[in-house]
Amino acid sequence: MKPDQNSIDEMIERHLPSAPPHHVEAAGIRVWQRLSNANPSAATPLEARLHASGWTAGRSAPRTIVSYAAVAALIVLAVGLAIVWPSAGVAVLEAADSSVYRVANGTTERLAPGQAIGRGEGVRADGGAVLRLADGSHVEMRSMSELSFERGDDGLGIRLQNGSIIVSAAMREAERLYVKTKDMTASVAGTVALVNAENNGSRVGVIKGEVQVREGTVETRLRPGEQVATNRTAPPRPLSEEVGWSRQADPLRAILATFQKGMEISAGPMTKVAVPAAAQQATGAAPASRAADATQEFEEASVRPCDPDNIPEPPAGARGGGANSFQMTPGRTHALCMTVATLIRTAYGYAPAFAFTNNGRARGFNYNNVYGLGVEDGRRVRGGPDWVLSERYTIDAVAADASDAATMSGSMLRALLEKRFHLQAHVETEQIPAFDLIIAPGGLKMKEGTCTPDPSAPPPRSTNDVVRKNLDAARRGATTAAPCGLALAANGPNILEVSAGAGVPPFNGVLGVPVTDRTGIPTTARFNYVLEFSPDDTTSGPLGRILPGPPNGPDVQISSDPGAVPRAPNIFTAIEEQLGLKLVPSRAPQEFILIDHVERPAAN
Amino acid sequence: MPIAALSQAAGDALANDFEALFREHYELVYRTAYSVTGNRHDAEDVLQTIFLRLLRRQSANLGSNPPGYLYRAAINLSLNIVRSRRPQGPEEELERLPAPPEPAAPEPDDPIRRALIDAIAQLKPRAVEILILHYEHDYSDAQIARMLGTSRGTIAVTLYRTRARLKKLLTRTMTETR
Repeated sequence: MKPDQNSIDEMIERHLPSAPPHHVEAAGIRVWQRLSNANPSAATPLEARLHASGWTAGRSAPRTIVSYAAVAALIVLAVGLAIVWPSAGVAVLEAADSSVYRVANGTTERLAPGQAIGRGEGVRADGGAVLRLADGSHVEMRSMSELSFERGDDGLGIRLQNGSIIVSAAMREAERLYVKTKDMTASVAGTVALVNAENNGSRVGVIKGEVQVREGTVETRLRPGEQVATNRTAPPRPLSEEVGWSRQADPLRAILATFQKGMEISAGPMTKVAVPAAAQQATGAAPASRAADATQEFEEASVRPCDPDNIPEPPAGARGGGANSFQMTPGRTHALCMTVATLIRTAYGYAPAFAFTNNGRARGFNYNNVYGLGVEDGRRVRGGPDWVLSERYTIDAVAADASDAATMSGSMLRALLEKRFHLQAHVETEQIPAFDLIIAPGGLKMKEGTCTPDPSAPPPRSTNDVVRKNLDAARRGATTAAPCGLALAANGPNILEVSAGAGVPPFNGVLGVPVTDRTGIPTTARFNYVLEFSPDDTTSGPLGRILPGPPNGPDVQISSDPGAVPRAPNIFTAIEEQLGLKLVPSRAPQEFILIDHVERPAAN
Repeated sequence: MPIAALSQAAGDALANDFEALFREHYELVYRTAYSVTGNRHDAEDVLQTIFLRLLRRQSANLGSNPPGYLYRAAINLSLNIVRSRRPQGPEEELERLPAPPEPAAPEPDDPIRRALIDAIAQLKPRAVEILILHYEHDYSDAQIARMLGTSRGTIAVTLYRTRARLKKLLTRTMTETR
């Protein structure tokens, strides 16, 4: 028995999970902060006592930093995926730091990420949590917060019983979105707002957009940076501190700080943009363009080339903040070291050429956010000299009146480009190579199947976590487990696409061209499968190439010995052999911007 | 009576006791929960739940053996979490990937580790208490006996039987996986 005893002893010693010391301390600080928040109304709040005692000296709690790279990767992976919304729910639990419960009909049930919350149901979060509403709005809950969803007079109401939330509300056309506390109601459509509900009153602060707050018969309009409290004796607290608990607080601050530093370094002095009509007549100058004629213009602007040897980088792993970032605040537009082609694409309101949703149109910008726009590769913006794709300019522009974000980023930016770069361009539509997806002559091989939940499992931390989780089951076509959907990773030189109960696979993100589903398979059908193909010139879409690994990109490699993995067939063969589907060449219309004329700008 | 309604002195005293209790034992609770559940999210959840319950109970008095109480609570709660990880019928599907909550390195993906966690979840709580004190916290048999209020002999026998049981469970799991 002795040898057996030793081997099991050694196995336990080696494989029993043991918390790394830095986890222990970080977890202790995080939990202590949440516990302190659970007792905000105590005569001497725990947090204050803790702070005074120096246990968290310097407040250096290792706040969870969102992995920009992983988030970006997952956002990229989501390109081309059809979102199926649970029919019964108004919201879905998207992520949770700790236990989140659904409270309904007097019962409490633990919620897992991906599970839906219905109207009339409550949500209680012991730790931080993020809910996503059907319209794309997000509600981030602070630990120890409780809310419920209810039908409002003319929209959806979120009743915040206690705690704090940050609502990133999408623009709503038909319905409004309210946040109600016991003593006020805030209308938050198209805004980002912080709402606190405490025993001694409520507080609303606006981060983005305009929020209408009603307290009794008194209505107040709040703009970014402004806040109102129903308890008049409560001391005001800076919004930047108020949102410190948010999981987005640090990355947002980092991106913002990098962007502002880049603007300070690269922006030049402002000069007048709009030329008075009388002066124009006196000089005989011809109107520069249709946009400049017909629209508002920036009053002053600075356009300055960026030093190619000092191009600002975004914070580690983030897309925004560095070169090719764009931000607007009311009345002001900032573009940091953007190529002229990217500026043109932005001003004309288009997304990169590989985006085939929304007819190729960009989704638009909100105030204050810093957007990383990527570099236009010459496929959406064509023509003009080579330097439009490489030389970068920083633009800082001021509008004379309260122009909205869409006008500033659209027609006003176009007018500025026409004035300063003498840009002349037009939009054309062209039939471009595309593919139709059909069932291969040998019949469908991917297996129909469902994906079941795993309520206790924590949310995935990386793409390859998701892929690994369902790889074996999906390969067998067996039932897979949440998170359901499509996930991609690298297996040696190959790309692995793992479907956990996803629909007919979209391939436009892989191929970089439009793909039309002509399989006739109902959109409700779900499949569990694994597709493994070797990327090549034909897979030019964002999902058709293997991203660099850390530190410049997310770790997507699942093989421990990538060099030993044999090369898989190309996408066309793989689809037919592995899924029983076939891509047939076809054509589809696509709009692009053609540069007729452009010049380097004169100095400010 | 809610904490807010306590007198300031009483509230302060409670907060003092609570803070001391947390400071002294959070590491024991977290590391125990991590060893049983195998991941930091659940471990943090266990730590928070145990102290939140104490906070709501408004008492930091855990009798004569606070670490023993907290340790047993950590083991029981952790085992509940691991044992509840079973599919619970179809849910409505979402074709999307939830945003990752943390950037940190993923928990090691080790099949033996997974098998070990599953096997431990099938043990009796008392056996798990002894096992984790021995392997994770490096307690001697005498220290374990003191903490759990029993004899050294009982600890030694239980440890021996637990290893044998684990060996059996692991052998079965690994055979099934092949």
